[in-house]
Amino acid sequence: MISKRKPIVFMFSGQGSQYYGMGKELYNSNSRFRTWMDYCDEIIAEEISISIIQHLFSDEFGIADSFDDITLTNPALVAIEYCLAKILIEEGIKPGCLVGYSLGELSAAVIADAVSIEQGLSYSIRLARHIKKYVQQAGMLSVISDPDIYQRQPDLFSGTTIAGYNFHSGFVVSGSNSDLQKLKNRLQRLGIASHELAVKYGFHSAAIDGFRERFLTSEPWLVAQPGKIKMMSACTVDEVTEITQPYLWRIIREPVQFQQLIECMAGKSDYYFIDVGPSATLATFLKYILRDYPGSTTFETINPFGHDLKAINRLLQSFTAI
Amino acid sequence: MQVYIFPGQGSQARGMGKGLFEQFPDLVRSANKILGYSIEELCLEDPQQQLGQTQFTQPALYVVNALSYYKKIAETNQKPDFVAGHSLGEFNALLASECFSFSSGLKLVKKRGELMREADNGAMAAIINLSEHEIRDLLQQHNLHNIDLANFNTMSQIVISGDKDEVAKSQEVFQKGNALFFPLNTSGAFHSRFMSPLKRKFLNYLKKFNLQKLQIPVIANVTGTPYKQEKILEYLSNQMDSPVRWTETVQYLLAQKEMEFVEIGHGDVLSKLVKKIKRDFENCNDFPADKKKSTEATESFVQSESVSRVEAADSVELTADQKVANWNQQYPIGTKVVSTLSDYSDLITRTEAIVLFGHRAVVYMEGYNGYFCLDELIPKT
Repeated sequence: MISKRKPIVFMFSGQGSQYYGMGKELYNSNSRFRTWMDYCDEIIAEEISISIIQHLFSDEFGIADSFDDITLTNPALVAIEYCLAKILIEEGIKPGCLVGYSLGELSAAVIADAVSIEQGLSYSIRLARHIKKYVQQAGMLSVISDPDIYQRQPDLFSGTTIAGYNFHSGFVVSGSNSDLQKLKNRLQRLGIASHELAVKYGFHSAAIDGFRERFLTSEPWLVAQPGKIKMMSACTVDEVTEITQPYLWRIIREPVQFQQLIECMAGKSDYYFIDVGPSATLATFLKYILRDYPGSTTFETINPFGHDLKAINRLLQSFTAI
Repeated sequence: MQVYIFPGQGSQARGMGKGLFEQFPDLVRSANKILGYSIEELCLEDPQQQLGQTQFTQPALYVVNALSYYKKIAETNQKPDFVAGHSLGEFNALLASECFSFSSGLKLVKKRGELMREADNGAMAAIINLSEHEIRDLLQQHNLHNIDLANFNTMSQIVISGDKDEVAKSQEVFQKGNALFFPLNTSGAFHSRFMSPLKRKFLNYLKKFNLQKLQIPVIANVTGTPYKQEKILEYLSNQMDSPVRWTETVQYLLAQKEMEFVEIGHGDVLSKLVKKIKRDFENCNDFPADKKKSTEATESFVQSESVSRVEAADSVELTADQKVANWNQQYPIGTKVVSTLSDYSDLITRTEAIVLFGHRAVVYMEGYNGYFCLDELIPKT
């Protein structure tokens, strides 16, 4: 039995947290995860005529290869996060609240039952196709430094926009590939670590504005019901009330205030935060953010180091022990 | 050949019917008068969040389906060879077949929605990856006696319906192995025994209407075969507390020559089901359940019981049509048979044999949610 002492929060990461082979170990060993993934795979294949599972788990690609074709990464992320959340829920680990980071808000909406998994996958594919068609390629860079540096040294960051606030000394910028390359070199000289995300577009910046009008004047791409589980948005730092076309735009265009959201939540109550993204990135951010909020605890599920089972079992054991 | 199929509850969405209402102002006016509210506002804006409540869902879908049909007829200037609808959609199929007028149909649907709203202590859920038999067995094993099977949507997608608490309890049971459980957003246990009292009320109301001769064959939810004129009252009222036999409906239609399915109304829920049913059927009797290609069980059975085989020599050169004709001459519905390909027990035919896809001689089997090839069957005598 899981104690109800603290509410459980599922966190869903966004683009950039995907990689080849994510969930493979779990797929091969956990029949429930496999059943859910097969189900999603069939829905995705209907739309893009490719088996995501075959592609994702193929021996051709490894963790070192960049998995960045957005038509594949979008549905793959939603599917992986959905299936991970599903197997936890089936094990009795039921979230009282959901947090989404960028595209992760879509996975959260599916788990909240605001939209169906078919709708969620289908939306992620449609979005990807439109982005490919109407948006110039750019990139995103994760910077390991206090975001203050962006204000303090504007020249250093010229041409880039802050796309997301991750934790006290970690943020993401979007910009053209050449601007990001320059920035990376300068940061390196300053001894500041940074790395490119596997995302070929400048989300959360003006780089996607070419697509804005078309998106906002279109018929709603998602017709959502009120969710059955509370959803918190890292875009508004508030509860998600209604998923409308304008809101869907904000999710991909405005900066992600992940750190602010977690601080706001952890400041009010203690939680068990579970990262149901594939990379454990959000759990890592939380390790830093929650230093000031020791009452909350963080768990990860799968990770890029191929110890899915270990991590999942540790999580399940913690919850039976709690 | 073409069949028009009309969706039912579950395919409603805010914004449905956009661009349709202004094309049929008279029908919309008469609908508003019957309903007492603006159907256009309900479908497009849904300001009060009512579209998900059955008493609103049903008229809304009926009107959108109907207007979509009239638009299609105006565009193509021809009628389909068959019509069918899923649950509520069956009213649109009957409307297309000119069984009643647009406004009579709307009154019926309004009544049906109001009655179904009364039954609000039930729940429904879709079960994926299990056969009818497996579901029934599990319900039995776990003493879930107040749950019925409500929709046979595809070979591997079946909707259960029944007592709220039992359906909630059944989730544990149906999320094991490779089964998936999806609760549905309905307020009542539609298409289950819990609808029986309402069915009688609906029948009384239905009797007030003057039902016309059907102009296009309508495939009935309750049988998966075409409506008979004299059975309209019975089928349409029984529909409320009987399962929707959608898989059989589609299989019956697939058995006709070169059938093209066209979904009329909002969304593509039914088209997806049709696609899946077609795919599932590539192989005769292709169940989610493991099939043991062992004939040993049958062989021993053949020795112990007296079994009459269809002349083996015949089955080699016979066409599918001939096989079907022979079968139907010799074996009435309800014949007990054994399968030589699997160890399914208690096989009883539930229909006459038919030819599917123009070349497969098959017969539908009681309780197995699917057709078996005649070639693999041995009748018990």
